[in-house]
Amino acid sequence: MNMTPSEWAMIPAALFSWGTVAAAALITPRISRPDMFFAVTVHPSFRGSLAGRGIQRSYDRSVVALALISLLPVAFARSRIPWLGLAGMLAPMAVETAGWIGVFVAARKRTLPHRAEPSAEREAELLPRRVSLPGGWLAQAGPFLILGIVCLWLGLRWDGIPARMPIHWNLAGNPDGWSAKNPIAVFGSAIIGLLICSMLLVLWRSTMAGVRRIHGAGPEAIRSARFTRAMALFILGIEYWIALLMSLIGLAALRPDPTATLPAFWPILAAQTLLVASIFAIAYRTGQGGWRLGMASTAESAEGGGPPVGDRTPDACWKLGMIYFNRDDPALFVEKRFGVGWTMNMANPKAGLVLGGILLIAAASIAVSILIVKGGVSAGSQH
Amino acid sequence: MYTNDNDPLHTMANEDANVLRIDLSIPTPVYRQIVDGLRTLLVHGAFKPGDRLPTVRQVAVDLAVHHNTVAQAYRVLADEGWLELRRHSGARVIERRRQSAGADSQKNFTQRLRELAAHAVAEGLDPKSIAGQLDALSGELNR
Repeated sequence: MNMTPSEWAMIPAALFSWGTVAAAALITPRISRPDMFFAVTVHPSFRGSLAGRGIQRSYDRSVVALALISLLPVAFARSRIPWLGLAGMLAPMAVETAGWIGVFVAARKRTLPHRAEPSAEREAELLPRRVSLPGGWLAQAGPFLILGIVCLWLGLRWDGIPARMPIHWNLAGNPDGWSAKNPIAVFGSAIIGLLICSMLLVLWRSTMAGVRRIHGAGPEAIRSARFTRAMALFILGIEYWIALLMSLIGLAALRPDPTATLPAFWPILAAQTLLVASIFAIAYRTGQGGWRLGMASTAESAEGGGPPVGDRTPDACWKLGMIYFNRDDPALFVEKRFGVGWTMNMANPKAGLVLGGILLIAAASIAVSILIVKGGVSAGSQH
Repeated sequence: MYTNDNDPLHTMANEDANVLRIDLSIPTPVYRQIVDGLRTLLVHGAFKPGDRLPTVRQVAVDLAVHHNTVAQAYRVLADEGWLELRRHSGARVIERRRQSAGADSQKNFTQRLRELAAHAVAEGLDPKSIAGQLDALSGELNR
């Protein structure tokens, strides 16, 4: 098997993506609120019932089978035909994700006959809402400061940057894309980092300002606050990770030998694996809305009888259990019905603005990337 | 747990001083439930003059009701002299002048209280327990 180091490195990269999707598929139904089962409102006791366990078992088996089947295209990864090799590497995750949606929808369909009418009670905490940012503004400013300092440093060391600089590396860490020295090529990665971090910060603040709190008081509200704080820390962690990654890419321009291998693949893969494992561990520990924090009292309230609280949204407004569309609901963000975190009410006119903003930032990042690559073309013609 | 405005005892079961609860399944209009719930909290001193209430938008989002419903409830309470509404800073609790009850109000209250007590007894509540709760409520109101 005559594979280059870069081709070899694609295997763990593909396995990482494949494993992430498989783990997400197996974990997410287990961390939904106790009265949510495959995005359907049920009585909390349904999860442990014969029917509930049957649906869960069948789903788990399907996910595992799907994960194994989706590995088959990897055989094509050895193909000498470049596009087939790449397809072989990307297919497992694509097949797995598409299959997961199908398996999830099937499990939801089996759950629907067991749905329970949620409680019609609503509660609101009557204290003005303040969006708390963990660590305060200093911690929040950290990723921006890192990227700003990198930009400043690159500007100060401008003369030390070679006229022809690497802008892309293969998975083995060898440069395979080059650009003539210009401001976009030098500052591009930091700019993309700033754009992504800004998007995450704005999205987080708007989510916290516009999300429905399911419980206004009591232990559930306390758990929910702890969960929100964990999520805030997680988003902050992602921002720092992006800032560090983009800073490393930017600072690579200052390396004495630009053609030298960048031994970054394995550390980055290890860090990403650790990050994803931490995400799953935190999500499993907290559960959606923090319901797994202090499970004893949750079990007590579940046994108390009465209709399930659910997530204060009607089942009928969830398309495939994944997309929330409710014109009568003023909330812009609501809890997701599986997994952890929040999703948008797509019927809210502001959802278009938020999506537009995300697309705008994504487009700006792509535009910067294109400008960097265009610089690479001109560099290529010069050399 | 919300019960309708014929039942002043419901506030005693409300252990959370700053939480407004409504029930979309009962026939009482939602704006009325918000008015009653908020007024109860105001009477029991959950808020002091100068305290700010959350925005109409925030309450509407949490209760999953239309903004206008909450705005209408805030306006009713403002007309009653409990709140001051400001365009951009939301609602603020104000010092309310003590009202002098007219003969009609007194008569109306007595009638409703008697009906409520009769309803409670019919449902099996012990008259002594009702009297005890009324005493406790009286103590809270005079604090």
